[in-house]
Amino acid sequence: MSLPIMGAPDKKAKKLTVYTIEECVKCKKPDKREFKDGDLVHKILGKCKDCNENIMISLIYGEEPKKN
Amino acid sequence: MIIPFLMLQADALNKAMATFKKNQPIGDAIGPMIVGKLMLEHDKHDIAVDTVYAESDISGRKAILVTAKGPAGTVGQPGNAVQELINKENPSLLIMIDAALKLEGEKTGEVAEGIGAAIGGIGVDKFKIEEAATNSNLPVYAIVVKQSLVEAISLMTKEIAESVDTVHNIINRIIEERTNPDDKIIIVGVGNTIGVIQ
Repeated sequence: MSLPIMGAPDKKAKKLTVYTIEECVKCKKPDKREFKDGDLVHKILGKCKDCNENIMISLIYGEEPKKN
Repeated sequence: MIIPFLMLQADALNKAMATFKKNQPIGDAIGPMIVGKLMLEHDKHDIAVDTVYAESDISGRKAILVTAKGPAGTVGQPGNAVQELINKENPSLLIMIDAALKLEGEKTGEVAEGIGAAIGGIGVDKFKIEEAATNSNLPVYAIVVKQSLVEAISLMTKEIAESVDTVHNIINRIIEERTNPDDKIIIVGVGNTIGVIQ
């Protein structure tokens, strides 16, 4: 009886949504959006509108979508 | 008795396939992610198969940063790389960063520090690093980010990803406490570098 509780895959496990965090290397302003193909951690995406420094992908992670 | 554990691992490997296909970082990529961030804007040189190093300055010390070459899914050869760098550079400190298995009740993403070579696998790389460190009388510090076996091969979670800054603070503290200015330090990010560029 206790075996499935110990380690069987949880069929009710919620699906994670993958998010990409973009951040300016100077002003550190973070921007969270959904993951797109081609996103890589530390990839340079363009220039910051405020300080003209590089915008880089700082993190990519999975998170449970928030309930509205 | 072990079937539920095998099922858990099989399920994790099955789910990991989609993560690898999309080139998304897994939990084990935390080591290369932490060291890769320190490597940004520095010249990278090949040191072993799928393994790169870069030289940087941290608090007035020469830091030699070593990790697997991303963004492909590889762990590189940290054993050969560190062995060569210890013999060549004669450093005064070695810091290793890796993902580590947590206990059931521990929190994912918790950071722990200790002493010794933080590296898994079958033991070849660990032996090479420990042998070279012992021959040079080199202290080895370990910083690990805790996660379960399933999390280590699945898509990186928020808790693991957000440990980057905590580990950077610990690296800076260890360097300032344990070394003198102008010393050489080797910092190794151990793990699979899928989805992470340096």
